[in-house]
Amino acid sequence: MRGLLLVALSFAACAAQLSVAPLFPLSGAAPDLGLILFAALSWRLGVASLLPAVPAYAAFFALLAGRSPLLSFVAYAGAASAFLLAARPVPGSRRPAERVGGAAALAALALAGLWSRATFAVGSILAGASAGPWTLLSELLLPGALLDLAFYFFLVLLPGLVGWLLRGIARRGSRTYAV
Amino acid sequence: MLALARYRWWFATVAALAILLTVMGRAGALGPLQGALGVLASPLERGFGTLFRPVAAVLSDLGELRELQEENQRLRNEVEALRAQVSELQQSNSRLQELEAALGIVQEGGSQELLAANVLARDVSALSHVIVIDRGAADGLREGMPVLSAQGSLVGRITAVLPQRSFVRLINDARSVVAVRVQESGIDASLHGTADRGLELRLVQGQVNVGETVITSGLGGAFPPGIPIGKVSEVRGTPQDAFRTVRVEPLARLGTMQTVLVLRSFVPQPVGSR
Repeated sequence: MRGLLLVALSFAACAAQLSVAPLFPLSGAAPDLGLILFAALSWRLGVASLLPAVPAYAAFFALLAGRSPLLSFVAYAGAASAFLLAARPVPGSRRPAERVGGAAALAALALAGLWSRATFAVGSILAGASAGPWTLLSELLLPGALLDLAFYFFLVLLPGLVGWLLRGIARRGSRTYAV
Repeated sequence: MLALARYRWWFATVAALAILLTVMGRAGALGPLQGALGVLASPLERGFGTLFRPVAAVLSDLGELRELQEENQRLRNEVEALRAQVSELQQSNSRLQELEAALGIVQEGGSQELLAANVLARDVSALSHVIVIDRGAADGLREGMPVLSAQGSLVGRITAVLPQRSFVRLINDARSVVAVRVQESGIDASLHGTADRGLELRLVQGQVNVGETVITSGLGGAFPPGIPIGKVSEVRGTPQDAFRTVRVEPLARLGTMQTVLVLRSFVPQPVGSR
């Protein structure tokens, strides 16, 4: 059931990548909502949740965007390696799942973005596009990493922070009434 | 790397899945699956687009307020000049019709067959700018057909067709090349998409000035001649420079357009296929 939900979430993220992400370009880059989903999942649910989500997202992206499946799998499975490498055991947890910590999630997200964008860029260059290493770095890789981190902050960290604050206020309120 | 060794079965499964999909794609067996997924994704894509487009528009407007004010002033001036030109052309046209009627010349009717399509999705991954439209083989679309903006300027060409949807590679995709002519000077060149989703003229032999109009030349047979594309926005270097930079501003808003027209009557005839 959980696997199916993760696949459905990957499908929704892919649809958003093809409709929402292009609305927020920076230079030659756009945010990669798939990677942001992977970062959020590995932080909140553990890296085990990536095992069904990543191949599902790669397949959906290849099919919906008309990209080469091989390129899409290399880009996203390679990117997932960053989250798998950054994983650490959850302290005090009985579950065997491992989670990516806050700062490690950001570093893994930046690394994953570099890998996936570089992979897609190599695919485009092999198909006839021309771009030098400096152009790739300044027009694509750096703006892309910046966008991913900004979107991760607004879509994942900020709501998490607001939720944590609200829970804290509610707990304090209930304690007051108990007294 | 030891951490990754624990996931070797997962990587092996992912690799097998990638190879399976690639083989199926080569055999043309992915079409029905793509079509079915497209049908499922369409409402989501439309919903997400409707929800987030106003937010993106506000952010974009805030960033480009000064630019928009200048563009507005420039467009007002252009409208004035064009109104005067339209009036002159109307007079010339009526005079031409009178002369044609006097000489008995029969003019063939416009044979351009255009089909309107909605933009469903966009792939803006690295060096790529591809849109997905809601028309496909069932509507008579074929690979290679030119795609125009609602105002009639070139935006791209169809690269893959499914029964109900098609993929269009836009002219600012870094893999895109269009044979073009600078209208005022008659100079032929090739127009390439760039990494920042802009347009650049290459192989320009001669003097090109800012503001000149770039149109398709028809050379190579991929596009019909005379379709407007954009205006020269920046020229860096002299005609003697081997690597001169000539940037072109497209007439269509390639990043935000919602409707396009497919030139169904044009059958591409690449020179190499003859």
